[in-house]
Amino acid sequence: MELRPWRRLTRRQQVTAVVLVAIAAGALAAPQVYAQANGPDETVAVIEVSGAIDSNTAQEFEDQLREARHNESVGAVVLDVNSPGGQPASSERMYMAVERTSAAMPVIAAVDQMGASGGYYAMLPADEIYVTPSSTVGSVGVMGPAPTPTGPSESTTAPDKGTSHPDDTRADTELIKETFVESVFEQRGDDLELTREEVSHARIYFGTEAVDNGIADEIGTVDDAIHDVATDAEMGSYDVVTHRSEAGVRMPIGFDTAGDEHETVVVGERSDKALNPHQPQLVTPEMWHNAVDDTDFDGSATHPQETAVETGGETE
Amino acid sequence: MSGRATTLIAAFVAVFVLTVGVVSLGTLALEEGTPEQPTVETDHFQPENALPDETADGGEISMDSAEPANDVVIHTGTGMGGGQPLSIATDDGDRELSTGSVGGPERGVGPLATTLVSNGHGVEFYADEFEDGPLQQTLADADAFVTTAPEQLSSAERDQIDEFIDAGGRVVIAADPGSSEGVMQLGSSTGMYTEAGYLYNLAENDNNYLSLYAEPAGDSPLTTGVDEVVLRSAAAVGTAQGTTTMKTSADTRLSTTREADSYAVGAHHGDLAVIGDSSFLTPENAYRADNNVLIGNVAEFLVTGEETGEIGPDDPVETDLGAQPPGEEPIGTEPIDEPSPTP
Repeated sequence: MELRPWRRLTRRQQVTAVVLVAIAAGALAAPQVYAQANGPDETVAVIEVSGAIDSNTAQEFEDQLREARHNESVGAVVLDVNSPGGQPASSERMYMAVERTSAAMPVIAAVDQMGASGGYYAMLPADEIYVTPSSTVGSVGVMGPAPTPTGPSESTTAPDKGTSHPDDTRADTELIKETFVESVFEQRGDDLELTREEVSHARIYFGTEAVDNGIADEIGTVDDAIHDVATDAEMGSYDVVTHRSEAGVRMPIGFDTAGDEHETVVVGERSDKALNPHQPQLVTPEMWHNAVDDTDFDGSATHPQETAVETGGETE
Repeated sequence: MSGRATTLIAAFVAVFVLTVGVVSLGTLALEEGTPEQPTVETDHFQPENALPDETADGGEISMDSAEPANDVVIHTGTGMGGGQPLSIATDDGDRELSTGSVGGPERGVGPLATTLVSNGHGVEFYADEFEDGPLQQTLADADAFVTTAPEQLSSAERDQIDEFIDAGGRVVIAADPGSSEGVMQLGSSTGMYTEAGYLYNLAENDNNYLSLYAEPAGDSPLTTGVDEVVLRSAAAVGTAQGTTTMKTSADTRLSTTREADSYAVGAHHGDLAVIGDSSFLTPENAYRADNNVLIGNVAEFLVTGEETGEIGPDDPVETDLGAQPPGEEPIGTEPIDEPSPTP
């Protein structure tokens, strides 16, 4: 092909045209280059743990932490915790997800009002636990039905179908308690000033007490946690991405009423998230009694909308 | 094919291969890939480390002595005042009884009652005076009295039990934690009482902080052959004149003071024995550790010893004041026979 028009241009005009094209190409490429050179390298993911812990909470939480580990831009995680606990298996699932994540990157948990029982269990493997002076943490114990002998019923095919011998009820509850206490010492044994027996008393500690006895590490909020976890991860500059808990917002808890064993009252939107008062639970006594005794319980004491910490980061 | 065409094809192939190679290598170098899965420490979740220890169950409840037939009154209360938590429940969810019946408070002393009956002794249950008439009448022909609900005894009933003890009747008080007034009044003549509050042990227990291990504390007929018993909830027992029969381990704590100590949970003096728990008598607990031996000993204690003098409520005649503890008001009973040793 012969570039006749181009040859008709003077050499000066040809240079000018090339310069113009170069400017246009540069203008297009410049933002990308600038972003590559000057943008934050990494992200601090703030993940909320809010309300009663059940399988939906744990599933959402484990997904978010997995995503954080698989996303190369995420270099550190802050757990924004406000939970009175919930189901043991779900708390254990969250515990393992936190431990897996803290093996890959720095993780700091910051407690708003409460990180107790299953809520405390879930955040145990974090590198640090931050509290405010009046946050409540601890409650390393189990609440469940008292062991009670049951009578014969032809409605089931076996005595342990639906009921259990009091010895088994005690052993089951003890198993959950024992693994909880062991997990506390596995994760915080070097920090704790308390004996195993003292931890087993299942007391709820205020933040200041908790920092003193090693149940928590420092007085601080989510902002402190973001700054410190970014420093731990040696981030020069960083973005903050906050994942709000969808499960906690609905706060549905269903319980059988004390007076009518056949009527299940479900408060909230999804009945499939009901906690079972016939099974041991990792919850605070207040939550247990509210749930079992007060059928009007609406979870307001731990409603995430009222207690969530605004971190100021970008919300996803 | 001309040399020029060959050169062009060779050039094309070479450039094509070079381009694909460079781009592929570049892609591989930039590939993030699936991150390595960090491991989680789960040793403390493994069965060998996590499963709670099992306390041995089993054995038999036996009575060795060949005592003649004794009549034992067992007071269980009405089951309304607490302390009788182990009757069969029906409110356990969707499961309903389709056969049998709901267990009353008597169920909680079943193993002791059946042991007495199977060894030829008589058993009479006493709930309260409204259901079973005056206690004094029930005790009139009895040789021994057991209560698992001393807090439900009225003041008059306690007085009648005092009379019964004074007349040579054997009495066992199995007092769960809670109101200690009943034990205090019944045991005051021998300085026996139970403390307010309950005992617990978080260091070593039978799968619940309230389930304590207790061991014999010296020679007592109540603990013969016992190495260790399990009490599901115990009150601390004190005694001024009597003998401590059972104690907990030293890391047991009293709920009111939280002080760790080895607490007495059983004591006896003469014909009166106090045990700070009634749960060991229940069917579910009767064979835990050496509870079966303890129950056999309790049964033995109730039927062993001197025959009681009869006390009658209806026709009070002259009272043998000499049989009363000094300073007490005379009580309306029949004259108390001289105790005769049992064969």
